[in-house]
Amino acid sequence: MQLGYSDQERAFQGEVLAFLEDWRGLDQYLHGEDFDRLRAFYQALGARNWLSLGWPIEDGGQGLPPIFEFLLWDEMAYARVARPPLSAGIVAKTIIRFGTRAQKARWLEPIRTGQLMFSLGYSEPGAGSDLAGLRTRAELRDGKYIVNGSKIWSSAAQEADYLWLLCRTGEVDSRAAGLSLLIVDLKSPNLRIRPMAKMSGNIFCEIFFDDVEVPEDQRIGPENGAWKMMNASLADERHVQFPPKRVLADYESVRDWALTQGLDRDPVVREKLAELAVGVLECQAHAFRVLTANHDPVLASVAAAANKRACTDAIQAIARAAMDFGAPMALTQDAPTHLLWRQTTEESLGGGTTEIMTSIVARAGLGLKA
Amino acid sequence: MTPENPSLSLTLPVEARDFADAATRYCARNLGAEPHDRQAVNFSRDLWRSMAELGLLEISATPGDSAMLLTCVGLEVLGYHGFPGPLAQSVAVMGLSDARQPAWAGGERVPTLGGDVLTAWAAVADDLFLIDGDGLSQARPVGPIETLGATRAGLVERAEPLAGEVGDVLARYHMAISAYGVGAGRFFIDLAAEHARTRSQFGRPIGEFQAVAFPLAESLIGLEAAQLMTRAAAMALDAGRADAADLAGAARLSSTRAALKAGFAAHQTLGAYGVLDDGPVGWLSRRIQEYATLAPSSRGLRASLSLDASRLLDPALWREGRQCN
Repeated sequence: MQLGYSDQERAFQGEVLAFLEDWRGLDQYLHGEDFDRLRAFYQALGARNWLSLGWPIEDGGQGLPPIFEFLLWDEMAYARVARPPLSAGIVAKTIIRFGTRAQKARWLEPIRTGQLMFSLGYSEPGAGSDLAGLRTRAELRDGKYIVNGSKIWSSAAQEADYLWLLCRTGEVDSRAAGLSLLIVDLKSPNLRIRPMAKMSGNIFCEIFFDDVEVPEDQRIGPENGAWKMMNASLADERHVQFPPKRVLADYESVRDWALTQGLDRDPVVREKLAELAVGVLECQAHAFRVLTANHDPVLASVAAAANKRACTDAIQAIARAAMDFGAPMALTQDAPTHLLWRQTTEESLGGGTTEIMTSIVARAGLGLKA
Repeated sequence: MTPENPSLSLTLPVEARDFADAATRYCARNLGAEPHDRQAVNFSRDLWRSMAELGLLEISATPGDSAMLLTCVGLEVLGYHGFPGPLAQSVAVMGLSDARQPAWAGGERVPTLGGDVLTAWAAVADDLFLIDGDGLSQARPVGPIETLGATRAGLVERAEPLAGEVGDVLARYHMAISAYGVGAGRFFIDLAAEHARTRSQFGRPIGEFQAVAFPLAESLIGLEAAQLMTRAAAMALDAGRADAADLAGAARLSSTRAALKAGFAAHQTLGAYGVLDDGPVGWLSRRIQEYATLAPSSRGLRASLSLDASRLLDPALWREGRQCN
């Protein structure tokens, strides 16, 4: 049993911390307003080959174990700088696994260097957690897919270059067996984006497709074969889905604010802070389980679901406890509690809802088909 | 950079796995394989001596690379089977320099430890210890008293003060009670999940209803974290880390919360069967609640745990080469 990093991992962590000094305060992690600076940040990561740490060497990556990506994004989360970009994660790793040689040549290099930003086009007004019921349709005509329908809850689509689109290419009732993945240029004619502000200040979008043309060679993997690819790419990203230092950062913000306000003199507040500190440790423990479960797909999916559930519970408990400490100043814009309360509410929805995560644990962990 | 093997590993050392297997065989032999067998087993001197022969208490007193980790794993198994007696209390006092230690290790004398006048297992113990605001002391029995957890508790009073490291005794106690709770919590979940898979209502197994399955899944999530934290606390004790007491305290808070949640979820899942006085859950959930309430209590821990404890699992705190393989 070993709970420490190796020398190589520790050295890499040191490099990350040194690099981050120039980027602290970017604060995209919570707000998502300064996209030009966010692009510059991803390009700076790309210049260091840090967007491709886990990619195979033959595909332009560093071929490193998942723990290196974890270390990078754990520190990013603590510094509240940025989340892992969709492009270098799900998109690139799916192309690496399932793309053609030509597709790899076209897409991987600009992703590796941080030139391209992607948004995710999965959810629809009528298909959220149950993605197999989605209706946005793509029909192949003369070497092009013609896309009609709409997507919703696509984060930052108003700023991204491309959409990673999950759409129906099979029969209407084909469920998961009739879905394909397309890369759609977000500046395509007949594509309309309607931004919506979230409580957190972030933006997500509704996207409307009215005979939008997508070249056939921008379909990744086989037609109607998206489901298996999505499961594989989800597995590829488990270790960075919810870094525990995000929880630590939230806890320390609230704890330090409470100490500054003198609230810890109240024994009820003191005990609650201790309880929240234990919750932070529980999240770190779950992260260890995710990082060490890669050899067993069932264990890995349970560990990742448990991690997501524990982390979102913890950050919501932290933010909401602060409001219960009896200090009206918690409500003001200057207090970290204000934004955390607003932002943490969405974390139990994005990336798999709390209900889905708990269901995975019940099914795979306990054999209960709930 | 070139890749190397990942450093993190949660795999227990071989000797810990072997010890857990031996403890499991011991429990099956001496407590019975089924829950209804185990709940009928009360504390006895013979049972205590047979447990001591397993080597748990002796190991816990023997400085070594993995002594506390082995103790932790053994206690998880004994907790799973609801072994009766002052296990965590004995592990705690085995850290004292005391002439009676060989007799405790061999099960010939039974020690127990409390943090207040009401002490679990005081009615069956030979040697009583008290940790309170004045430090560590020996204690005298005042008389037995019935308690929720049916731990053969007793009222005690402070006697001679003892020299010794209170922090170390407390850290061992928190780790040990936490490990016992992790095992008990896992027992509750296994019992309830089996019932939820096989008991049908409204035409299907009740485990297919999220209202039934989710509390069990949530308990499992809590127990998985608590188990790792407890084992980490044991490793910190083995390594002599200065913050081991805080990590053990945090582990105990996590374990207590998860084990109680699991116990209550099991009561509810088993329905009326789950609240029978001689049912399969109450005999052990009552004991877990008692351990949470008795001083040194969870409440006291929440009042004293360092607010920097949130960093105690940071991998940077473990020196290279401290792993147990």
